Amino acid sequence: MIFPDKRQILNSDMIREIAGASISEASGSDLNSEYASIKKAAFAFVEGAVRGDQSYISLENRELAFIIWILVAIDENIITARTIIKARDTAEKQLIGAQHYEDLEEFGRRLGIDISVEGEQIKKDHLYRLDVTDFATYASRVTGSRYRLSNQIVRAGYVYVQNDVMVKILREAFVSFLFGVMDQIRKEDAVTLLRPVSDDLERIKEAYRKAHGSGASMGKGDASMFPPCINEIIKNLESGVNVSHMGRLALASFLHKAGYSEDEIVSYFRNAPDFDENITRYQIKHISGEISGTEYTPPKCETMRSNHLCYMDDDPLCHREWMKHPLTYYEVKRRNRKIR
Amino acid sequence: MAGMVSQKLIDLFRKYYRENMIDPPELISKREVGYMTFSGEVIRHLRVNNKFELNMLLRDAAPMHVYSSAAYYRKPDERKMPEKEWEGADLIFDLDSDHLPGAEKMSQRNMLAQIRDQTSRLVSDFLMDDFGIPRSSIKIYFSGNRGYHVHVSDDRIYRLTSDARREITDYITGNSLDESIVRKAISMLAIVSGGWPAVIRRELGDNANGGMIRETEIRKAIKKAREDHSVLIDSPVTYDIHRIIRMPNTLHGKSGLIVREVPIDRLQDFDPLQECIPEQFMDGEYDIILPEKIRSVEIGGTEAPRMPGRHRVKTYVAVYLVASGRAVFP
Ligand code: SF4
Repeated sequence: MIFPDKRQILNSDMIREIAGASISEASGSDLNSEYASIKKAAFAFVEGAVRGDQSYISLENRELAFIIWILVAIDENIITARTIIKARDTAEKQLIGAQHYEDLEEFGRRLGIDISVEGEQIKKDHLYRLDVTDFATYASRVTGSRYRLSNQIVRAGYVYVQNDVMVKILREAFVSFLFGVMDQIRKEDAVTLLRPVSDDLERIKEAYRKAHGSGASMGKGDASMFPPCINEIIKNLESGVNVSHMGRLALASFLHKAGYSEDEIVSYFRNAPDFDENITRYQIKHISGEISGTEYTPPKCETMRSNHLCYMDDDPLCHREWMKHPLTYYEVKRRNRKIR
Repeated sequence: MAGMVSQKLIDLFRKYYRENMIDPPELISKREVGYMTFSGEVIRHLRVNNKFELNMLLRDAAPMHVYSSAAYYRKPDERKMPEKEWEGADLIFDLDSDHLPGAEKMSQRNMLAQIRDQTSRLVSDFLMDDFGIPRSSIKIYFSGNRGYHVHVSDDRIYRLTSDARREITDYITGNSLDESIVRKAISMLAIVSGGWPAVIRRELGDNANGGMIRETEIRKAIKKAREDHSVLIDSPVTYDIHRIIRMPNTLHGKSGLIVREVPIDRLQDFDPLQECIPEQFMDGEYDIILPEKIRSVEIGGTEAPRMPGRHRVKTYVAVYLVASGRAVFP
């Protein structure tokens, strides 16, 4: 069972020791071998998530802590989103299986959510009580009538819910918690601390690149799955409105990553006021790494935003906490059309 | 006449701002301030640091409408939303009698009374009873024309996301009620009672006894509960966390009335058409022209003239009729 613990996750001494632990060391102490297995489990978890492995892998606190540092060090949005979602689902399974309501209470307490129990626990005739603002915050991320505030018992600032609803609330709060902790770790620190395992980090990045990186293997999806920012750029280009350099770069690299061919990408630029086929092709070759050798990744949401290219409006997916990259949007939509 | 701005009206608005020292909303320096001039120009993304600056601005501009954001920003004067750096926002509710069913056929007095009752139910049933918001965190304002605004400033709600606020507006309007889920909740009311399930249970009356509630009955009860209990709020005002809303203590450009705070315990007998007239408009009389016959209007206890032609009326009647577009100054 995981009990999220911010202090533990941010404990860099522990992380350093886990990163440095080695199984082969003859003089290995108990703690050393324990850390070595934590390290192994953490990497296995991230790799599973990257592969899209659906199977359940249990998770414990220190593994989770190490995973968080791995994600910060790799700093690749799709890897992060996938791993966090897998961790979320793992936590959810654990919460569903929890035998005592105290486990949910404790889990909530760690996330800053005050839960208490109303009614008789013995007869399973009880409800969980939580603050209405906590409910509204986290339930709003779950679809379905079961989770709407309107359908709940609400009284004097509290909402009273059954077990299944409580679990979903905690699950979403857990995601917020994880992103919150990640924000507190500097990438340089993570890279430094995880230097002993830099090979493993590379291996994950490589596995990810193999699976998704080379545009073609990602398979081409249709434009209805594009995020609002990309659609806006396309719309502007089509109607002959001038699009900033950054905007063009974002579109071209996005389409490339989404598996579109050079010819197809060129066609998107045909209506641009200053369209020049040769230059456009040259630029696309640059972006795709054919000329420069390094593939250009489209900018993340934050960068898009500060360049006035984000058009999230009230697109629910864009408002998700883990939505940090237009490609994540595309990938999530491709895997689940109906997701909000 | 359309598009023609009356200098007399502007002067009267300026007089109000010259002779008053407007109290700004709390933490004004963190809010975006905006206004609309009588010529229709909208100026937004202003930062006003204090009461003094606000009053200088208003005296100078003599605006038709004045707004400030419900949100607090680190940089309220940035033009792009993401760059303003949102820190939090009050929770705002907008109740407008124009949205009442059958509003076209109601008298002005009746409309205002009905929307006042809805405002009162919003505050007592939803905000205080259900959400447990302390009375001291709630402020009610006459909107300046046809309704009320309710502002909640509370640490608990300050950081609520737009989605979370949508959950709240859904609740108040009784949206998303689902028969089978409500049925389940009703069976739990023995443990704790409250919210829509309790209201629907009451509507069911004796039908709820004996365990089995029939499909049609619960559907009817939900419909009835919504009619009786929901409150007519303009939801986007609440969940748009960047919106600018009418600033308290300023004048509404379509009525010349003050957006005035109404103490919660005075709401029941509050009459905005008496109590929101600026002192500056109480004295003196003006000539106005009514181009055509109008529906009856009562303001400040006087019945305004209705027939086309030239009339001599009290200043506040003149302001009200001209600002609302019913009359012109000669
Ligand atoms: S949030 Fe991200 S994906 Fe959505 S529109 Fe903005 S930049 Fe694009």
